[in-house]
Amino acid sequence: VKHALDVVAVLQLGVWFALAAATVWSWARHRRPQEAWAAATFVVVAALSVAAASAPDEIDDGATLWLVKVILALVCVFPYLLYRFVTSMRPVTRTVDVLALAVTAAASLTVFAFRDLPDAGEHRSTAIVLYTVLFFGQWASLSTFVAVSLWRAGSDRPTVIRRRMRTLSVAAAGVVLALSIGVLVPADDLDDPGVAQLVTALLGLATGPLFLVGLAPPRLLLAAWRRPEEARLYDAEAALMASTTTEEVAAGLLPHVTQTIGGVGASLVADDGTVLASYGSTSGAEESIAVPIRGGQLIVAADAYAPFFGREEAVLLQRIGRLTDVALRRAEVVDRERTAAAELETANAAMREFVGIASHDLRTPIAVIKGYAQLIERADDLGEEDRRHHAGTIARQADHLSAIVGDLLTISRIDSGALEPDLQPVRIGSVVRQVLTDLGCDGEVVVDVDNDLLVSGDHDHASRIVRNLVENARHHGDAPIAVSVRRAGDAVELRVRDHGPGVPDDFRHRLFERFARSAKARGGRAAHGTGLGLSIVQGLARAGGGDAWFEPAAPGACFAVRFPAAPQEHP
Amino acid sequence: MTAKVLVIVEDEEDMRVLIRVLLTRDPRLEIMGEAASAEQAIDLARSFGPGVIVLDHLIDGPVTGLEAAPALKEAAPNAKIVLFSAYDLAVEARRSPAVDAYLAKDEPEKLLPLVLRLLDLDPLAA
Repeated sequence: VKHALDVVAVLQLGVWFALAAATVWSWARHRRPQEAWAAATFVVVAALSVAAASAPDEIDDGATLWLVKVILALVCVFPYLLYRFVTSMRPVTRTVDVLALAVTAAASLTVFAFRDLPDAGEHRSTAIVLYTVLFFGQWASLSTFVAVSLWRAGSDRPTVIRRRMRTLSVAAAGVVLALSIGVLVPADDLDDPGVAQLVTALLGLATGPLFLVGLAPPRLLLAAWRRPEEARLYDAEAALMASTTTEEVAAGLLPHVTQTIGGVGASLVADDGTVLASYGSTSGAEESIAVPIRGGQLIVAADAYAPFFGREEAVLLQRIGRLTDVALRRAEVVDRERTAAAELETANAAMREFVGIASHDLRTPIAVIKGYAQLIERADDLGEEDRRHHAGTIARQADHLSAIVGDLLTISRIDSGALEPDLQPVRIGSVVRQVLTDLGCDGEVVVDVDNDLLVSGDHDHASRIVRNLVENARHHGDAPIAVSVRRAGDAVELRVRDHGPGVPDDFRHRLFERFARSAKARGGRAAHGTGLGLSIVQGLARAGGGDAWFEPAAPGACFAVRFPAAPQEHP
Repeated sequence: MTAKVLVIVEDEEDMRVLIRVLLTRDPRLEIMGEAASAEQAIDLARSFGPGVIVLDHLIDGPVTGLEAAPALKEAAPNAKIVLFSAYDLAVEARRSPAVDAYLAKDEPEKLLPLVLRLLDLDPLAA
């Protein structure tokens, strides 16, 4: 048995050193409290195992006594460090923390109060027995706390994380068990250790690899544990491949990655910080793991346990991150196609409506012309006055028909960009006066124009714009009608204001649409224009680098047009 | 012979005059009212109880002719309603129980024969 114990001791030494190296390496890479506490724990254990191996069996001088006392003091530090490792991820109340520290300090320091320590088999004084109880109590309580905390925290977590936590939990429990046996069944003679000592040693030996597996599991083991999550990931990948929108990508992806890492939520965040989609709870998470994807990041929010135990699972995230890139790109393309199709459909619908209204508006004058022509043709008893009236109506409706066709052609040229405005400095004041003279309404329109103002525009277009606006005001508004032109920065703004009933609120957004007529303005189309006038005004203004818009006025309505200003002449 | 009362609902002056001229060529027909909107038309229909209402589709006001037809029919249950429009509304007119006939506006020569047929009158000898 003595020989077996020696072999066990050597093996154990190796395991503790491996653990110390693994945890220090992990701390060096990540430098966070939980890694630091794990490293401290196993550096202490490694140091202890070396010291214990080099300590003589018999305490025969003062130096040895001190060495043993220091070893015993440090032994109490081990469960405390393990406790700190766990509470660095899941904090407990301050009272519990203070209590743990106090018990550890007491158990560590008490040993220095003894002048001598009994060898194995020697009689134990009451003080020594009390010290043993304190020592055991500290160990058992802290290690049990660690074992229970890790076991509980492992539930509902992904396989790898759960198994790692529970392996650590079992290791901590094994330590308590080994210690219990050591304390309850003391060896009578170190030269002849009993079965209890062997069991203690074996338990101690077993806990080492368990700690190692919990803290630094080998890759093969990780791969085996990871299988259920991998299967789930395949499902997620399949869902991703079937997604055609960003929302579907997010819905297929986020729950899976959250589960894979044992997080509490996940989100897709664009480079500019916009959250594209999120799942679960993502705010106020203790930790987060981010995987870069195209144009942003996939962020999994987690509690403090997840990064320590689930960091290796980030490789799975990276894999799905690459697929997410592909899926998002596809969603983008599909979305573009969808938008293009919708725009085309809208344009088609607008075209159908345009053709419908245009044909209606063309048909109406045709019907009137045909009707009166037939009357003249067939009615023998038609008087001269009736005949003249009918002929006049036919001529008027023919004019209207030709106005519609002319406007349709203008609209068509505006739409196809074939307008080619002949941009020159145009004296806008002269244009306004000429139009008013042509319309025969010089007297009824108030003009407020600086005669020297020059706009950059096509003379015919400017003239058409002014005529359409003035006719619009005369047909739909009431006097007085006012035309004003003002310099506005590097532009010139022309306004035509009337004092009529104005434009109903619900019609304002349609004012510049083709054939748009408010319910009020529908009557008497032949007398009231083609329904294309304002649309032409806006089209011509924009073609010349300006714009046209409506401004509410009370009472009445005001239409404004902006022309780019031409360099002004300086007399 | 009693004159048959008619109401014209049409918002365009020239067309309204044309309809009047076309229909009054038959002395048995009398135009009792002309309206530009559905609202006016319903008032007229209620007052005169016309035999025929010639109804344009795109009229003044928020209600179209087709939409106004049921209310007109209710105001004058004995009236035959002719939807006379530049829109191609043959299908919609057939579906509407209130509309008795549809005539495209570019066939004005067919209006008088249609109205006479709806009133069970024989055409006058030429």
